[in-house]
Amino acid sequence: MALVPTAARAKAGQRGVVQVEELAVRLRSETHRVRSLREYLLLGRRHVGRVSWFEALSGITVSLQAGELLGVVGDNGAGKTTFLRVLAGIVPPSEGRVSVAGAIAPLVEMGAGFDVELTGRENVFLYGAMLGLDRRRIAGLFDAMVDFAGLQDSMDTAVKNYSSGMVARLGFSVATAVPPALLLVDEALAVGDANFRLRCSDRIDHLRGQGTAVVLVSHDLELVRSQADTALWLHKGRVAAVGEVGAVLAAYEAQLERGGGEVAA
Amino acid sequence: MLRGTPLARLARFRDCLWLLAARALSVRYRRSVLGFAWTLFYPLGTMVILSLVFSQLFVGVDHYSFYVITGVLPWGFFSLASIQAADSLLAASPVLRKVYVPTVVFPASVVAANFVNLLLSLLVLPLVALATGAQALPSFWLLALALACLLAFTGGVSLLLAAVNLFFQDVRYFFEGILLLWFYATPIVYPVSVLPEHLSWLPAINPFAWILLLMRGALYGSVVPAGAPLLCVAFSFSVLAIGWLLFHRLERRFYAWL
Repeated sequence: MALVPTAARAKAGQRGVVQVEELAVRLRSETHRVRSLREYLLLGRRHVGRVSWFEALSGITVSLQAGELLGVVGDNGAGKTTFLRVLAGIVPPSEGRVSVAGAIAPLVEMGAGFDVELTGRENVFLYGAMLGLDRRRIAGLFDAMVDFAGLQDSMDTAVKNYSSGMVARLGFSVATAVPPALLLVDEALAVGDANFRLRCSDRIDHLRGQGTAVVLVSHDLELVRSQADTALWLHKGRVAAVGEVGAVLAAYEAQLERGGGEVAA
Repeated sequence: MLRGTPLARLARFRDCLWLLAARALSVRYRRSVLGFAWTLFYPLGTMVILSLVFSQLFVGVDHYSFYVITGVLPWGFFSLASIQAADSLLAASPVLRKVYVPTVVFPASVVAANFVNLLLSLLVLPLVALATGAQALPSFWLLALALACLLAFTGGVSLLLAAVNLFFQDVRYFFEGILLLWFYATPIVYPVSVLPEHLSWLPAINPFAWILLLMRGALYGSVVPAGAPLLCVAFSFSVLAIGWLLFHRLERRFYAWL
């Protein structure tokens, strides 16, 4: 059993900034999808009723205090991105509870909210608005955001002319301009040069110092080892191990060395 | 997240709505030669062509071109807004899969952008009236009421389409077909008097025909029967309410279809 005892902080009575209790998420399986009205009318209700669901996540319990970083590791398809989407408020839990005490800033896939036809300036406002900031606040923070991204000369150019690194810098800058209660990072730091990555980790450290909790999904185990306060290993939607970073990573690495295969959760 | 009522969520993200609407308006004309003038070009062009083709047929209509444009403008708004709204959620799925934004913002911004287009096109009407010799004295209150009903009706239909099109992606194409029939079932290019006896019930059950009646009453000077404004307000806002309620009931399931 690759189980590591849950860390003491998850004891009942100590509510964290992020609290996940017995989270289960069921998602629709793609195979039986009836995508058009024409199909529905031709094939009838019975066919639609045969849609199958699968357990994307089950029995996840973890909590995070202010300023802590949770490293989430696991193979592809283990449910890491689904877990982030639940934390972001996009996918509702099928069972269990998720509570986050404050604003959430997702950093999944840099520049997801960007429209390439618009200029950098217009995108800052649009992306900021999608993150829930109002125009006045964005206007007030605009200069600081642009300075952090180092894009002072590019703000009036259309984003389609930006390099992917520039898009990443701008996206990160806007998403972290207002310290959120929870920051979600999905291997996004893989984009950008060493200088940018340094600035990103500096800013994340700064935010953590101000009380932002961070959930980091990464395949870079060394990064997790050096940054995380607590770790979670997801395997096929279940908790394979959670708690002390060294122990969780050791268990995960052991399983990798064995060449994958079943994990008793 | 899903905090507060749907209306509260929309209010919190209202800046997002306006920015999306501004984007829809600016991107369309950003690099075109005529720019914003294209918005007017289409209805004016339609008006000229239809006048050339049909004015000999419908001789009984005073200032036929003006009659046509007062029908084409609101219809253009309704058809364009509803079709674009139908696609709006699907088009926004890259964003909606990553960031939480109240989904209603997307169809709402589409309707808002098209409504701004309509208002600007209406500003040009007095010039068209002058050119065609028609009266250009709109009844402002009636116009405001007609526009409110048009907006409410379009909003309700757009919300419904946006939601249903997520689940059944061909609904948009079905609706385009319906719009084609609907166009001819509404007295946009022809006067009501032209309809034969056995089809005279058609405008009575067509909600858009009622809204058009108010619009033309305000702009063109048609006679508006006593109960018409109240009827329009009643059904337009009911459609909006139904669209809103159904959209938000279905919203819980969107995530699996984006």
